[in-house]
Amino acid sequence: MSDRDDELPEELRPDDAEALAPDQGEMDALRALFGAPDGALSGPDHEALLAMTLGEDVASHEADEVAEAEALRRALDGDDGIEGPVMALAELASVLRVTARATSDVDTVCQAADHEALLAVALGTEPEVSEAEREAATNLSEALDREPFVASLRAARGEGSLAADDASILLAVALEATGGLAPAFSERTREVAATLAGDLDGTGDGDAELLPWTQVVRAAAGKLPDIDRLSHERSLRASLEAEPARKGGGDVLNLSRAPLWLGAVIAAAAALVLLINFGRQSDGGPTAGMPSPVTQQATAELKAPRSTAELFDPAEPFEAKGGESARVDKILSARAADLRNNRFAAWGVR
Amino acid sequence: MMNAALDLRWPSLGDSPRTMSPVRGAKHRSAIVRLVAAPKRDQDEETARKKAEADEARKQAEREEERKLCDQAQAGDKKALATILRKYGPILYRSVLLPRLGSEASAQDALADTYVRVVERFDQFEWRGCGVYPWLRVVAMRIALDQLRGRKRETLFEPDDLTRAVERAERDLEEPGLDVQLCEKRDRAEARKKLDQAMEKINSRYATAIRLRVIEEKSREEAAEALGVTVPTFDVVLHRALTALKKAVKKQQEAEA
Repeated sequence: MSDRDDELPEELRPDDAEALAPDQGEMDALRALFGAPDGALSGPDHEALLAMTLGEDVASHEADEVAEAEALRRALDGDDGIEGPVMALAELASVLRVTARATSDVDTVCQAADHEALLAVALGTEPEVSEAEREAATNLSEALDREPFVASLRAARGEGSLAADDASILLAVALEATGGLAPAFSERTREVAATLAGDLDGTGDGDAELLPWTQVVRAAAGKLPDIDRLSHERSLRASLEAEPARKGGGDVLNLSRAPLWLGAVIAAAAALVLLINFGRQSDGGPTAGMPSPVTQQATAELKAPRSTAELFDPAEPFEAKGGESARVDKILSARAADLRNNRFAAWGVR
Repeated sequence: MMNAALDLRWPSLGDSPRTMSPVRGAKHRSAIVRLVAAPKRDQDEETARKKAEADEARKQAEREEERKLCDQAQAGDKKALATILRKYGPILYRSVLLPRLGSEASAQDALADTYVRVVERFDQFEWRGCGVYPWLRVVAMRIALDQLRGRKRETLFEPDDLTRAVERAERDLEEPGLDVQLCEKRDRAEARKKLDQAMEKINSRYATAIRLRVIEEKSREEAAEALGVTVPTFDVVLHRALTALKKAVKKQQEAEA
């Protein structure tokens, strides 16, 4: 007789071996309990139930099943080397365990130390903690203060301090920075971000909506380049040209003012032509509204604005330095002749 | 006995370090050190004083030269006016217009307008001890203010900020020690403060992204590495950071309005 036999009630000892055999009523009850379809119970399930109900000696298990059971046990004990269907069972078990703990009272959730800590917080007393635990707590506290991930999370939790999408992006970034998890941004988000990145790199079209804000920031930080010499000189000359010279003043801008003067004269001549033409059209006569023969002829003979390229020989390129005055004189002379001819043409004389 | 006789004489001449107490000895030693070091210190002070005088003389000469230019310009000498504007225009652009208008194109427009107004009104300029730059600065600020009022620009500054800045700049005209460097320093400090205030309104990680990529102009790769994320993720963060900055600035401007 085995040791186990000693533990059995007297009426169930081997002498009463027939009492160990399951009867039909018990089997039916088990089938009903597990709700097997059309009353069927699989072989392994049946064996397992028998073993559970009547003792291990009654059921016989397949070797595969025993091996899987052992693997499951190891997985539940935290062995990460287990894979396959057994791991899925272990995960399921873990979920059940967490769910059960979450719905249990504090005694089952907390370790003794946790319970002490919670009590200390509630009562405002100092918890009894070991030196190692105190050191770990200090380290954690310091890490929380310097870790930007935590700062981000704190900011994300602050009311009204952060938009929902900001919070999600910061969280995603923090997770990637700390856990290597790639955040799942939408295609549109990635697209607009890539457009801005391209513009900042100088490879984009410069149409990123936020590009002006990068300039705003750089300008305030004093990081934008100084005005380029040519733009500055252009602004300066334009402003100085706009003001008539005063008495006794020097004149530094003869060269650049010449085209302006010439343009003004041409504009005056054109206005004169238009005035003459308008006067002839509005005299109310039978030819009113029609260009006069003189005007038609004059218009045909007017020199049209054109490039100055024809005044210079393309075979003789300009010198790198000097010669500007001579070139301007040449243009001035040619344009003055055009103006004179246009005036004569407008007046109908030669 | 000899020592006693000497001791009797010492009080009138001062105690000997050999015979006096340790405390008094230390005082004497430091006095000797001071006596030995004095000539060198005097020499340094003299050098510094001479340098300061030379600087002042140079500044005075420059001011005198500038005053002559201003007189000539007011008499209609455009060459003189061009010399003044050529010297100070880039500084106006860099420290007055660019930070307040926030874009190169706007700042260049404003500089051109500033020049036109200076040419038109230079006859109203009155010479003061601080030179011509502070007056040009006021003109440039007024132009920038006009631009800000006329068009809604994306900038850290509001018209009210500039109104206050113009008032301050006008008061500055009365400050005798004011010079170009001081004006520039004040303008830059004001812009920097405005930027810092805006950056404080957004998440620190966003601010870091903007600092790395926009202000320090680090490459995307460097900036992403500094934040511990991939380059595409960094792009998203930067985009979002600038959006948040824009929103924060607008919100504050609306609140102030």
